[in-house]
Amino acid sequence: MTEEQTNKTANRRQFIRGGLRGAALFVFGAVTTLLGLQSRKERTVWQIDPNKCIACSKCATNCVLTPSAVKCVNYFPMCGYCDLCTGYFEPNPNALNTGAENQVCPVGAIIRQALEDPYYEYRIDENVCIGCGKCVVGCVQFGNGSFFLQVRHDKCVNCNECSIAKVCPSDAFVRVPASSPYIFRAKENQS
Amino acid sequence: MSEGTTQNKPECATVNPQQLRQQIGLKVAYIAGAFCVLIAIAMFISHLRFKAYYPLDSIGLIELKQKLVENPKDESLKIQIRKLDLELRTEHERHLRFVKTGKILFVIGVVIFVSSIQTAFWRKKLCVIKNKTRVSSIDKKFYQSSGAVMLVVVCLTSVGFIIVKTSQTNIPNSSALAKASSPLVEVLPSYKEYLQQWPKFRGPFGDGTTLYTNLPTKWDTESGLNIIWKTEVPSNGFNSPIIWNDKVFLSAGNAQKREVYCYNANDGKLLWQTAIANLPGSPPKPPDVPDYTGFAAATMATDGKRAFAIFASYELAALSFDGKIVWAKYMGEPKNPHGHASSLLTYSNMLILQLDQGEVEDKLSKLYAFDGATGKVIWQTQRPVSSSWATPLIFESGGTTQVVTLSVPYAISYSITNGSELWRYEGIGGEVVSSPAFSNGRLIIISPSDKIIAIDPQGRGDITKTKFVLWTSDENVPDVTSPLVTKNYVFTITTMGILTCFNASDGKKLWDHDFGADFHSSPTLIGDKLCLISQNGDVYFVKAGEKYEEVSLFKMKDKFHASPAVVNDRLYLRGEQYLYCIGNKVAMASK
Amino acid sequence: MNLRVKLILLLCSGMIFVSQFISFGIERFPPPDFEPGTYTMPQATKPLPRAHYWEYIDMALLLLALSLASYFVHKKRSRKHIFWLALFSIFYFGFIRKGCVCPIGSIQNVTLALFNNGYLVPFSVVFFFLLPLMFTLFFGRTFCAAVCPLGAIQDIVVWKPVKIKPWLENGLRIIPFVYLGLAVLFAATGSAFVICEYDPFISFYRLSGSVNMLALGGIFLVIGMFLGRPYCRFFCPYGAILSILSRFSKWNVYLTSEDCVRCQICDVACPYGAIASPTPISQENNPKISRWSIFGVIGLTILLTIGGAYFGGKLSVPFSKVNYVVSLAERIAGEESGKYKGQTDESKTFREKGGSIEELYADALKIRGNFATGGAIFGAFIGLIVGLKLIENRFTPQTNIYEPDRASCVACGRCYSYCPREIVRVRNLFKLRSIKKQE
Repeated sequence: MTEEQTNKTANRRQFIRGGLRGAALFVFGAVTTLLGLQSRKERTVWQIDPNKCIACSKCATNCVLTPSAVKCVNYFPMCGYCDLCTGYFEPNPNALNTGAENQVCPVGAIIRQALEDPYYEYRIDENVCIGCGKCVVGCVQFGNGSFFLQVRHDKCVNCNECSIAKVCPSDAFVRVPASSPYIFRAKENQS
Repeated sequence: MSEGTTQNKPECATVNPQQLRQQIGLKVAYIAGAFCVLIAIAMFISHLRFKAYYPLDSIGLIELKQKLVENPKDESLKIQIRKLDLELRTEHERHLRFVKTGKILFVIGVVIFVSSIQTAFWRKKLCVIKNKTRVSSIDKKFYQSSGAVMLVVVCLTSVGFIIVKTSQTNIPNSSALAKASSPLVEVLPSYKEYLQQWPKFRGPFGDGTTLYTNLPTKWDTESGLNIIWKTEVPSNGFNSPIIWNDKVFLSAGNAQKREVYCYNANDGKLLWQTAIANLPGSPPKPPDVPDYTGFAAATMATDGKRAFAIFASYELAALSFDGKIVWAKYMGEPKNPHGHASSLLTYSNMLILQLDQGEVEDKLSKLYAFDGATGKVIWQTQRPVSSSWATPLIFESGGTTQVVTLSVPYAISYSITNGSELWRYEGIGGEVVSSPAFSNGRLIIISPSDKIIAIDPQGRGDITKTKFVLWTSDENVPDVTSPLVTKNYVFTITTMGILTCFNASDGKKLWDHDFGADFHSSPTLIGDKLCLISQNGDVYFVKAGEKYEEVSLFKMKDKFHASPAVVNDRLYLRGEQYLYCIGNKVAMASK
Repeated sequence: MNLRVKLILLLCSGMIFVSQFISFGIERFPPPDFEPGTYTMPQATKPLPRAHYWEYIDMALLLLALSLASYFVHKKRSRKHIFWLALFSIFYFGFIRKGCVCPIGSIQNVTLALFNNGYLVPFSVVFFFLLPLMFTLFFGRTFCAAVCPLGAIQDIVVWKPVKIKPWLENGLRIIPFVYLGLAVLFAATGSAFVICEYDPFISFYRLSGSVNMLALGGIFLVIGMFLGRPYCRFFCPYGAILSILSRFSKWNVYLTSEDCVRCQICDVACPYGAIASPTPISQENNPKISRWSIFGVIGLTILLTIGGAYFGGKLSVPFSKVNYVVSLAERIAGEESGKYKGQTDESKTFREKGGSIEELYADALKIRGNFATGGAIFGAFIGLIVGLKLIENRFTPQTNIYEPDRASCVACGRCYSYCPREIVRVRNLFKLRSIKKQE
C-alpha cells in the first residue's frame, strides 16, 4: 500500500475509534446520571433482624470468618435477671450452678454473676461466642427474649454478598445504613 | 524479513552475577514454597480434626448428658462432663490460635517466595529460538482462530444442553392452576392456611372454636358500634356463612330457585350469585320441603379453591371463587322427612357429604367422599341408619383422622382416607340434629333430649359397652344446637335457653343458667368467652369457666338461626334480613 | 425455689414449642427494679463499622493509583515502577480493604441497582465501577496492570509462563463474556452475586474462608505461576468489558517508536500471549482469505445471535433455581406432591410463618419468566459476541511488525523493558541528556 493509503486508513481508524469512545462516554454518562439520581451517599452493612431470626445456628457455620462475626447480644433492659435463665441453662437443668452439664452454651460464653438475691446478671463474652444461637432459642421460648443474634461490625468484613444471608432460612439478613448498623428488639424503640 | 532460516543457535547470553542471583533466588523460593505448602497442609489437617471436635456436635458430651438426666444425682458423671467440656473447649481455642499463627506464617512464606522469585527472575535473559517462528499466513490464522472459537461455543452449548435436560421443575405452572383438573397437579392451600379461615360449619375445627380472639363483646346495629358493614341477604336459607380470605359464601333457595351468593368480606358488596339448576337427572320441580328447614339448611364448605353447596333438592354443586360452576351432581330423589340439613365438610382434597335418608331397612343412607376438584367419588360407605340432620365431624385421634357421623341408631366413625368403619356406638334415638364436638381426646355426641355421651375415639368396633364410653349425662340435653367442648368443660344450650356447663372429665354438671330465650344457633368460643345468640337477636357473652359469669348482653334487631363465623378478628353473623360483619372498629382505624 | 423458677420449670416441662413466638420478645418476667446506686446496667455495645470518611479515601486512592499506573505505563515506561505500584495495590486494595468492593464485583451492584428499584447503590461503588472504565477508554488496560488487586497478585507470582497457541487463546477469550453475561443475569434477577461467590483470591486477602474458597485461590495462584494471569485472561468479566473498551482507547501500549526488527524478544517476554505476531502482506504464494468468508462470518453472526436467544430462554428453569424464592417454591412443591419427604429449615420456617403457597408459586413463576427473558438476552449477547469475534478475526489488518494486542494487553510493561530497540533508544536518550547537562 502506498503511504497515502496507509495514512488514510490510519485516519479512518482513528476517526472510528474516536466515535466509539464518544459513544462509550455517552453511555457512561447516562449510567452515572441514572444511578447518581437514586444512589445513596452512605454505604450499607449487613444486620440480622431479630424479629425474623429463628436461631437456626447457620450463622456459626456459614460466615467466611472463623469464628463468625455474628455474636449473641444480651439486651439488659429486657433481661429478667432470672435465677433460672432459660437462655443460660438447659431445659430442666440438673442444678442451678455454673457446671458445664447445666449450660446450654457449647463454648461457655455466658458469664453468670450473682447480684442481690434472687437476681443474676448474664453477660456474653464476645471473644468466645460463636453465634450458634442456642441461648437465643431458650431465651425467646421461655424467657423475655433479651438474647438475640447480631452481626458485630468490628469483626464483619461486610462482603458484597453475605454468605450467611444466602442460606438464612427466614431471610433475616437485611442491609442497614452504616451509621445505624444495629437492629435491637422493640423495647429500645419504645424507650 | 527473514523467515527464520539464517540462525539456528538460541540467543541465550549467560552472565555470572545474573546466574548467581538466579540460583540463590530459586533456592530460597523452593524453601519458601515448601514451607508454605507444609503450613497449608498442617492447617488443613487441623481443620479436619477440629471438625470432629466441633463443640456443638460432640456425641460423647450428648451421651454423657443423657446419662445424667437418667441419674441426676451422680456426681462422678458431672465431673466427667465438666472435664470433657473443658477438653473440647481448650481444643477449640487451641485450634483457633493455631490457625491464626498459621495464617501469619503462611503470608510470610508467600511474601518470601514471591520476592525470591522476583529477584531471581528480574530482567532475566530470555531464550529466543528463532526457528520456532510464530509467523503464519493470514488465512491459516483466521481458520484456526475461528475454529477454536466455534469449538468453545460447541462445548458451552453442550454443557448448557446437559444442564437443561437434567433439570426439572416441581412447581405447577399457571395454566395447570387455572385448569385445576388433575389432583396430582393441583396443590391446595396448606393446613395452616385452612385453620386461619372459616371454611365450613362451626369453623376450621368443626366444633365452634376459633384461633382469633381480638373481637368485641358488644356491638349495636342501631348506632353502628363495632359494625363494620351489614348487607342484605336472602332470607330463605338457615345456613351459616363460610369465609375464605376475602370472600364470604352462603346459599339460599326455595322451590323456584337455588342460588349461591358470594360477598366481599371487607365491605359486604355482593360479588356474584350463581343459580344451581338443570342438573342432569334432576326433576323440573323439586320435592316439597318443610319451611322450618328450607332448601338451604346445609352450610357450605370450601377447600380454598372451590365453594361447595348442597340443597334439600339434593343438588350438589362446586363453584370456583369467581362464581363458575366447576361441577355439579344430582344425588337422586331425596327421602328425607324434614329436608336435608347436614352441612358439607372439606378435608384436604376431599368433600365429605353425609346423605342419610329413609329408614334403616331402606339402606339408602350413605357417607360420600368426593374429589373436590372433579366431583369424582373417592369412596362411599353405605350406613345402616335412618335419616338424620346432624353434620359429621372430622378430627384426629391417636394418629388417625376420623370422620364421625351421628344418626339413629348408631354413631359411627370412619377413617377419612378410605371410609372404613373404625367404631360405632349404639344408643342414639330421636331426631338427630346436634352435631358432635371433639377436644382433648374426648368426643361429645348427643342423643337429642336424651343423653350426652363422652367417647374416647381410640376404641375399635362396637364400643357401646366398653370403657371407651367415658361418661353419659342426661341433664339439660339439647335437641337442636351442638355442644361446645374445651379442655375442661362441655357447654350445651337447649332450645329453651338453658346453658349448662359440665365437667369434661366426668360429666358432672357444674352450673346452668336459664336465659329465657329460644336458641337455634350453637355456641361459639372466642378466646375464653362463649358467644350465644338467641333466635330473637339477644346476644350473650359468658365466661367459659367453672361458674356462670356474664360478660355482656345486648340485643340485635334481627332473627338468627345460623351460627356465627369468626375469621381475621371479625365475626360474621347471618340474620334473616342482613349479613353482619362485626369487629373492633378502633383496631380497624389504626391499620 | 422462688415463684419465677417454678413458673419457668412449669413452662419448660410443658415444652410448648410455639415457634411463632420466636420472633417476638414477649416479656414474661418483668425486669427487676434495682435500687439506684447498687447496680449499673451495662450498656449494649454497638461497635461501628469503618468510618464513613474512609470511603472518600478509597475513592481518592483509586484515582491516584489509576493516574500513577497510566503515567508509569505510558510516560515513564518503567516496569519497576509498575511493579511497585502493583505491590501497593495488593497491600491496600487487597489486604487492607480485604478485596471488597472491587470494580469487578461492582458490575453486579450496578446491575442490581438498574433493575431493582428497592436497592440503592452507594456512590462509592458506582465510582469504583466507572473510573477504571473511563481510564481504559483513554489509556488502555492500565487498571489491570497495577491497580486491580486480583490482577496484581497474579502478576507477581509469574515464574515460568508457558505459551498457549494463539488460536486456542483466541477461542478461550469467549469465556469471560459468558461469565459477564451470567453475572449480569443473576444480579439483575436478584438471585446471586456469582462473581463474589467464585472470586478465587478474596479468601487469600481475607485470610479466612471456607475450604473450597481457599483451595480455589491456591489452585489459581499455583496455576498462575506457570500460566500467566489465568483469571484475568480466561474468566474476569470486568476484563471482558475492558478488552472491548481498550480496543478503541486513545493511547495504547506501544513497544518502541523505532522500527521493529522482528527479534521476537517481546513475544517471549510477554507472559500473557498479548503480543500480536505479524501477518505477512499478501503475495502470490500467500493465499488471501476469500471474499465469501465475509458473508459466511456475518451470516454466522446473525444465526448465532438468534440461536443464542432461543437457547438462552430455555435455560430459565435450571438457572432460576439459583434464586432463593424459586428454590423455596421448588422445595415446597416437592413436599406438597410427596416427592420430597420431610422438611428443610427453609420450608419449615415458611410454613410456620403462614406463608401463602399459591403466592409463592406465583412469585417463583414470575422470577422464572424474568429468567426466560434475561436468558434470551444473555444467549443473544453471547451469540453476538462470538459473531463479532469471528468478524474481527476476518478483518485483522495485515502487519509486518510485532505489537501488543490492544484488547488483551494488560500493560504490565515487560515487553518494552525487553525490546532491544527500545533499550538502545532510551540509553541514547540518557546519554544525550547527560551530555546536555554537562554543557
